Amino acid sequence: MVKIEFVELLNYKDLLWNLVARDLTVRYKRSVLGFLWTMLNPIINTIVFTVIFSTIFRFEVKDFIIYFLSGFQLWNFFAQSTTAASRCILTNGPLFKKIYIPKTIFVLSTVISGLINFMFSMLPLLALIFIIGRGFQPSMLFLPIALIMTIMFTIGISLIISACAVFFIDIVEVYSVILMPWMYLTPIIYPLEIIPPKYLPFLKLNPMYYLVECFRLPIYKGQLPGPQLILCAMFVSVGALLIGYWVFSKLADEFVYYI
Amino acid sequence: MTHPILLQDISVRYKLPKERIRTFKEFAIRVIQRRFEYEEFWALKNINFHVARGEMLGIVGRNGAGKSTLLKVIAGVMKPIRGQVWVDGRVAPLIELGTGFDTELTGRENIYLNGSILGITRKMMNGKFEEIVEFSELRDFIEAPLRAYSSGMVARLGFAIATAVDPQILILDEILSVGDESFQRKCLERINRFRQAGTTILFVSHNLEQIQTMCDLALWLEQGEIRGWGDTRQVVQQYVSFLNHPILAPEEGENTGDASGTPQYS
Repeated sequence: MVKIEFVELLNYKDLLWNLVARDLTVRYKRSVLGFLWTMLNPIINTIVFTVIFSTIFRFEVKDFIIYFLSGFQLWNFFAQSTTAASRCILTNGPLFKKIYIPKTIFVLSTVISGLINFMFSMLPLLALIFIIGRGFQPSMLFLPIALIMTIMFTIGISLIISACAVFFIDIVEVYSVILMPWMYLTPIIYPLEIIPPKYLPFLKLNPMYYLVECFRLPIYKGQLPGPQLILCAMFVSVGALLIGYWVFSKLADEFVYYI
Repeated sequence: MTHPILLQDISVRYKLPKERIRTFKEFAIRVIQRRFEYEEFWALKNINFHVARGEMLGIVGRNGAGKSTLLKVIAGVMKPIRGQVWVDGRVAPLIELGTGFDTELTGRENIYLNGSILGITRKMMNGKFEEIVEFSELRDFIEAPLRAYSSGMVARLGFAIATAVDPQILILDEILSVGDESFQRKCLERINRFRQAGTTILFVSHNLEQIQTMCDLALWLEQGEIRGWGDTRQVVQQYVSFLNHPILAPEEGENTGDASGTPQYS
């Protein structure tokens, strides 16, 4: 009895939405600020980083807020979604130990929840673009594509980590420790220009570099990313998705025995 | 595809490491030291049987015999290390009550959540909603969060949902022991309705009386093997006499389960 995962997921559409709804309601049901927190977080972060980096470290970046936020928000989507996803198989163990459920659905629902949070957190940035920035630019039509590539990458990484976490629970902690330096290795709080040329090749090994650039360029500079950039981003995102799916499906049958 | 449930040569193996490896660090150490000792536990060994459409099969056996594992293989939860499973139709497993319930959500929200876990669309659940509330007698509590429910109430809700979704195959794992008299009666009534409607039912229970009155056929599992399969009365008798004089392996000439794929009738 071979069940094709993608087909199965279509059958379980309602479960997917239910899981997303459950995640969002449970997260905000008992908090006072609720959804406002998704918007408050980036605003607070922006103030802190802007103060630190434009007065203390003095990176000469025009419209630093927009440069920073457009990269930082995307990063947060990736970081928070993958972090939440790392546990999602473990926490839902009791569920799929009793009833058949296509397990990728848990990873998908965490990423979709993260995406919805991301959308809300983008509102302050959009407001800023229209107030102090250039307003709408044609290049921003590329944004959905950049976002889709980031989503694919996020899903891929989430699949790998969530599957491995079933067998080695310390991966969850190791991953959150890795995330911090990973962010600093991505040009988000600083412009790429300040990096000495001899370190650039190493920086360009970072997959998130391409994804962030593809998302940030249309917003910050009103330009489309160059073909090389787009190609690398596509390679990285499709690659992560395929590898993630392969790893996950290889390991998924064993989950039940370890939870 | 003649039978809704068909198991061919099914074996399920657990690997129990002598010392549990939970972190990557421990794993890495083991790899370097080449210390990978584990015990194999075969929960199911070469299981061959089928369930005919509309049949109610009782499954008996001691604790640890492999009954729950068998149900999980049929429900698609566990993949066997060997053998093939064919299951045709929607399976509603009641392997533990309250599965899929989220205590933070209300009864109503849990009905929809549980329905979607069973693969039912929201539209279909809309049609069933009233019926579920009616059967479980939880109308006054349906908007309350599930953590306010007693275990009996959770049981009623779980049973109501699983049976309202019209499964082709219903799996009941010792859940009829929960609930008071009137609930048990309602459950039995509904199960009977399912039988009349031609639903295939798997019924695991230690209540041998219920097994004998309700089931067409019975299956006796011991240590992962089929020791008896066929006429309910006969199989239950074999099981009972085994319980009184436990022997760990079937002897020659003893009337043991036929692993070739046909049930034995008297």
